[in-house]
Amino acid sequence: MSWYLQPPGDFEDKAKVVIVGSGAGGAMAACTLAEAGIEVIVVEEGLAYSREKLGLCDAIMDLYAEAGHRISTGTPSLPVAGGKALGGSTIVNSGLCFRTPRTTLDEWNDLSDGAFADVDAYYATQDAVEEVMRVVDTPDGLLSGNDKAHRDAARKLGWAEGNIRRNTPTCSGCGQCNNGCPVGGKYSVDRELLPRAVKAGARVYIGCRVEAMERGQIYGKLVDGGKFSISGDVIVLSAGSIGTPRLLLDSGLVQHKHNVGAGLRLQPVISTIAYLPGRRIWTPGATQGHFIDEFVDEGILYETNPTIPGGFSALPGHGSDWCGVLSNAGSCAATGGLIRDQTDGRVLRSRGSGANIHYDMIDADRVRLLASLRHAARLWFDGAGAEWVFLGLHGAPLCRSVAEVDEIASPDTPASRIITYSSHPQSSCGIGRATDSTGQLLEVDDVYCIDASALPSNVGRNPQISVMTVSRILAERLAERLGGSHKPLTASS
Amino acid sequence: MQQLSRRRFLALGVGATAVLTAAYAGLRQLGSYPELEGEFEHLTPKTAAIFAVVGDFLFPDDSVLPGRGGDVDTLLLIDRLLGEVNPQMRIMLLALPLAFEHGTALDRFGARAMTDLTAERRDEYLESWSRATDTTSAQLWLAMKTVFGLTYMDRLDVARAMGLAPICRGS
Repeated sequence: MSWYLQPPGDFEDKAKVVIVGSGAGGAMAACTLAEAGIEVIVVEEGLAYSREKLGLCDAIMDLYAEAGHRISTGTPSLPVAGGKALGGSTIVNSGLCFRTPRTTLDEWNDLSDGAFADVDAYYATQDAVEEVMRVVDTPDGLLSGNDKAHRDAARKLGWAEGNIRRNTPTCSGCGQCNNGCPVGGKYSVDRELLPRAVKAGARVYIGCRVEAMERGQIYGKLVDGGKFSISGDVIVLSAGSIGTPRLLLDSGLVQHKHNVGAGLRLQPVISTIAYLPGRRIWTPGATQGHFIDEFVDEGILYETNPTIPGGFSALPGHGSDWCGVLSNAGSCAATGGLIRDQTDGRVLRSRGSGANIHYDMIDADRVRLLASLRHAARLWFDGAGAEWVFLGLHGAPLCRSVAEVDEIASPDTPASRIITYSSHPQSSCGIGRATDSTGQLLEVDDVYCIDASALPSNVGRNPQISVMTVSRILAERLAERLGGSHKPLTASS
Repeated sequence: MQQLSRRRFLALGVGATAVLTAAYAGLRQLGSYPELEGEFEHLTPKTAAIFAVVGDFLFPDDSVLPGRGGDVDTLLLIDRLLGEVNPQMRIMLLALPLAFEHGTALDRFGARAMTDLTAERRDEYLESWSRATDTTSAQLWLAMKTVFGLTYMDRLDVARAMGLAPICRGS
């Protein structure tokens, strides 16, 4: 018998706390509250992941929000990825675990009037989160050909670099984290946090899409037909930085003018692909195992990019010659420049069936992305002897020198030509802006935002561990308010 | 019977010619499309034919990659993709091939829809899309290629031929 429930038809239920979403934030909140003796229900729109699936096509259609086609309006328009499964985005991320930078935490305290003023306690919680999530450095033996090319090039140039810490304790190097780990090597939240919550008395419903809410009540439809309603003294929204404000706004529970949905950061990534003739890049190893921190002062972090067949579709060309280029994909390395953006995006009331995300990139972020292309060109040409480099720019040819890249990705290149994407939407209901230091909405009592949306600003790195840390702290505060006594967060044996 | 003035005669003549030309162009743009082989839920004969033409242009059968971009396996994957996205996005994805089919009217290819062009003219037309430097055309072209990136290029046989076969060393 499964530890989660997939209701066969219409149902009603109630609990002290109802949590919408089972990802990094929802799972941590559920575990914390349930282990504190509070009755909890978790509601997840997605289904439980079947580990037999491997193809990207299957994964995108089944495990990603809006089948991977959630896009923002504005310039440039960009896809905004998110998980839709039991375990949320932790099912489809690459398991990257960066600690919250101290500079970020200081900024959060400035923005939130000291919501995390006890810095030592914050990092002690983060230590515990890392232990529970089985976070370790990626060992050299698990670096893929892509990671090694990235590392060797960075070292040749003398750039600051390192192996990425990941929550993949039994990784076997398939490079398929983004399709859902096919061998169970990733320690996503469905491995421990959610089962622990259930063991402590929580009920977890899957296949339940929440469509509306009011104070103390949520309503929705089952993916297989039927409807449900669940009531609770407290509603915790953990549907992510897009889903959480969307539900609040679409339900009419809050108005956009009250800052719900505002301040959204998308932390865009821009890719470069480099052809390194004669090198075997597609070899077993981590999906993303290596990072370069040389340009952190410019707000740019490089990580090896997942090498997926469809990612090569952006390369210029067509026909037999193009297919010939594509047949060399196994010798192509890729890096992604992730920027700590300052653009304030917005989640607005939905128009029609999809999320309504608006993000007009400010000039500083445009310049930052273009700079990240030029640095990456140096990495591949000067550090690795690339034959050509593909830049994430509409209409760009395959570039064959740093000088050519400097010209094509010049600082005056318009934002509309930039091909970028987001995997880390954050801070759309930020503490200090839309919520108080406990995550409770400023304008509605007993409704909390405990997920990436609650971050006061963006982390500047992959946010998984920061989201879990903040969610743990907020859930502890909620548990205390509800009279529970939370247990210390320790890893199960 | 009242005699037409010269001016009125010329105006009527120009008007009638314009109407007939537009009707002819419209009829040519309407085109006719072969029935689909296989069970499709969202693709119509028209949209399937357009995707097939573009797919074959991108991934022809004489390339080093297996199959071809416009084969029925790929079209079925596109149909499935259309079934998974939200209705709003589905409308956009189904409008995408129409931009290619009828974009001929804005180019030098005139009245004929893309699928009605000769193979040579069609390649010439799609070649102009692939070389587009204006942002709108480039974005539409990339969107079209991305559809095939998520379908044809994700096929296991294609991934293998690209040197990107899934690797698993077992648990």
